[in-house]
Amino acid sequence: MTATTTAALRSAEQVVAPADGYASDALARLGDPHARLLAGPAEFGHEELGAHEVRLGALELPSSAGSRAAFVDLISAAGINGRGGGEFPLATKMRASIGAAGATGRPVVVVNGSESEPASRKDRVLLERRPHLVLDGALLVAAAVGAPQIVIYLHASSMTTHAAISRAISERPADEIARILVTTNDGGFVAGESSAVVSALSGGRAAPVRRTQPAAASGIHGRPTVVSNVETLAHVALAARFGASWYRSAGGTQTPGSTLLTLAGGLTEPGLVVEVTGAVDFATLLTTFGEFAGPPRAILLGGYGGRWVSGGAAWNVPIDRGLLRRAGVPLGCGLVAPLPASACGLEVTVRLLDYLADQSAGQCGSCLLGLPRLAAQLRDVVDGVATRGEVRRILELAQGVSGRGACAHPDGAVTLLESAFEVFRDDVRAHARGRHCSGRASGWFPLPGDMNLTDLS
Amino acid sequence: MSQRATPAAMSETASRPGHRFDWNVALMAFGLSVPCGYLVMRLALPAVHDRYFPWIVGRAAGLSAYAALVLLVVLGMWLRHPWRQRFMWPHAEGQFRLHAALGVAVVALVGAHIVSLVLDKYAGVSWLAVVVPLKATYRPDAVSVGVFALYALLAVTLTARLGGRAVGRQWLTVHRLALPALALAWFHGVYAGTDTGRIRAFYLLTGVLVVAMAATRAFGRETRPRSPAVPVPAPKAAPVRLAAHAKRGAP
Repeated sequence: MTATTTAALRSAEQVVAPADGYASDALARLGDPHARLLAGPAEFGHEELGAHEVRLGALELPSSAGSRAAFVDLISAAGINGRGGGEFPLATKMRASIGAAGATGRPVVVVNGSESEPASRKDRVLLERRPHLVLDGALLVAAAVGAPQIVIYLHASSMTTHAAISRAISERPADEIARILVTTNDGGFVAGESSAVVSALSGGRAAPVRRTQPAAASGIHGRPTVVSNVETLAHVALAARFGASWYRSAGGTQTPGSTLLTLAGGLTEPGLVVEVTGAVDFATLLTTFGEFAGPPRAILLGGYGGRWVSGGAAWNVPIDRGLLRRAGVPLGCGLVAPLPASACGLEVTVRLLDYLADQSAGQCGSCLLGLPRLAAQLRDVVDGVATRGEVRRILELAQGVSGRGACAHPDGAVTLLESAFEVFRDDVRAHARGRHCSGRASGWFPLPGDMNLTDLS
Repeated sequence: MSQRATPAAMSETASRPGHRFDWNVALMAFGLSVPCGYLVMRLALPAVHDRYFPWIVGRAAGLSAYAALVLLVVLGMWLRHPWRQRFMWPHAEGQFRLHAALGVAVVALVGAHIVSLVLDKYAGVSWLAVVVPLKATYRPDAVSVGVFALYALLAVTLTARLGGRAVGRQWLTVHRLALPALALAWFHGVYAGTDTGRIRAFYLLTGVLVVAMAATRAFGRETRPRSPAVPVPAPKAAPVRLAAHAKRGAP
C-alpha cells in the first residue's frame, strides 16, 4: 500500500510543475491582501458587518425561482466541494434537498462548525475572524434551497467561537437573526460527521448513523438537510459575489478554488491557518512556515485519521485536493503535519491511535473492540515486547477492522496505522528488535483532555 | 512501560483489552451453561449407555442451540435498540464480546446437533438430508425448515466473520437474516421436536421475547441520550422549534 501511495505521489509530482517553479506568494495568512477567505483585517476580533460589506459589497439573496436555479447552477459551475473532508459537490446536495423538499418537509441548512479534528483550526478561524462570510454563505444556500432555518452546529468546548458567531449574528438584520439557531454539542471526534450531526439535531446521540437516504433528502426529523462545512459556505459567499470563473481562477488544476490548511507537527507556527490560492508544492509550504532545509522524514496529511506519507515522495507534489485524493492521500480537514526531526513517528502514531480508539462511538463491535486492541499491539511493538508473529498479525487485524463500521472512523484509524507501518518500516523493525530510537512523541499533535502526566519525574 | 505517558482516557488495563480476563463474558457463559447442562442431564441421564444416546445429545444440543440463538438475536437487537441509552450495564464493550461469544456457542451447538443426529442410526437424517431439503425420512418438512435456517445462519456467520475488506459494509445487510433464521429455527424446533408438548411454555416465552424485542426495536422512540445537543437561542430572537416543523411536515 505504501509503495502505491509513493508511486502515485511521484506521478502527481509531474502533473503541473510550472516552468519557473512554485512561488510562495500563493500562500496567504490572515490579513494578506492576496488571500480570498482570509483577506481583510488582521487585527484581533471578528470583522464586523459594516466593514465586511464595505470590503466585499452587500449580499444579494436569490429571491425569484429563476435566480435560485441560476444560483445552484453557479455553485455547480464553480465546482464547490465540501471542505470538511468528504469533498462532496455542494450543488448535488442542494439539488437533492430541493427535489425532496415537497415530500419530506421544508429544508434546513446546517453549518457544520464542530471541527472535531483536534489539530484543525481552519473552521474556528473563519467563524471567529470572518463570521459574516460564513453567515452569507449559509443564507445564500438557505435562500437557494428554500430553507427557512439555519442551524449553526458547534462543539461545546469552543466558547470563544460561540461568542464570536453570536456577536456577528446580532449585527445582522432582525429577519435574519430570527432564522439562525446556534447549537452546541459535547460529543467527541465522531460528533462532527454529517450523519452524527443530523442524529444529534434530531434529538438523538451525536454518533454516526447508517442511512439509506442521504441527509440532503431526509435529515433532521426527516426534513431535507444540507449539512455543510464552514469553509465550504465561506467559499459560497465569495463565489456568489464574484462569479464561478473568478472562483475557478484560484487553486490547483484538479480542484478549483483556494484551500485552507492548518499547520501542525514540526512547523514553527503550529495551529496557523494558511490559505493556498494557487499552485504550491509541499516544499514551498514547509520551507516558508518551517525550518526545513530538505524533506522531513514523513508528513501526516488530512487529519489524525489521515495518512503518513514519506516527506521525500511528497516534497515536490502540488497541494491540490483532487490530485492528492487521486493519489490516495486525501487532504481531509486540511491538516499538514510534518514529523519533527527529533520525533519518533511510531511514538506519535501510537499516541494518536490511542486517542482515536478512545473516540469510538461504541456502536460497532469492530471499532469498539478492534481499535483499542490495535493501539495496544502497536504500543507493544513500540516498546519492543511484541513477538515477530504479533508484528505481522497487527496488519491482519487491521484489515479485519477496516471497512466494517457504520462510519469511516475505524477506517481512518487503520489508515493511520497502515501508513505508519509503510513509512516507518525501518523503525518498526528496529523497535521490534528492542532497539529503541531516541525520538519521542514530540511535535504539535494536540489531543483534547490530554493531561495524564505519568512520566513526570 | 510504566515510565511512558499514557493518554488520559485510557487506563493501563483499558488499553489492553486483549490481556484482560473478561468477567462479564465468563459470568454469562456460566449462566448459560447451567440451564443447558440441566436440560442435557435431565434428558440424557436415564438413557446413558443406551442406543438413544446420540439422539438425546442431538436433541439437547438442538434445544441449547435454540436457546443460545434466542439470546444472541435478542442481544444483537439490543445493540441497536432505541432504549439502550437508558441502561448502563453491561457496558457496550461487554455486550459486543458477549454477542460474539454467543455466536461461537451457536455455531458449536448447531454443529453438535447436526453431527449427533446424523450419527444416530434411527434418527432418519443422513448427511445429504442436512444440506438438501426434503431428503430426510423423519418429518421431512420440519427438517427442511431447519436446513433453510442453517443456510441463513451460515450466511450471517460467514459475512460477520469476513466483514470489512472481503464483504465490505454489506455484512450488516446480510446480518438482518438472523431474525428470519431464528423464526425458521423456532418452527424447526416446534415441528421436528418429539417433546414439543412438554416444553410448550419455553417456545412460547422465547418467541414472545423475540417478537417484543423486534417490535420495540423497530417502533420504539430513542430515549434521552447522555450528551444531548443543547439548543442555544440566537441573540435577540426566540429560537424556532424544528420539531414543530417536523410534525407539520410528517406524513
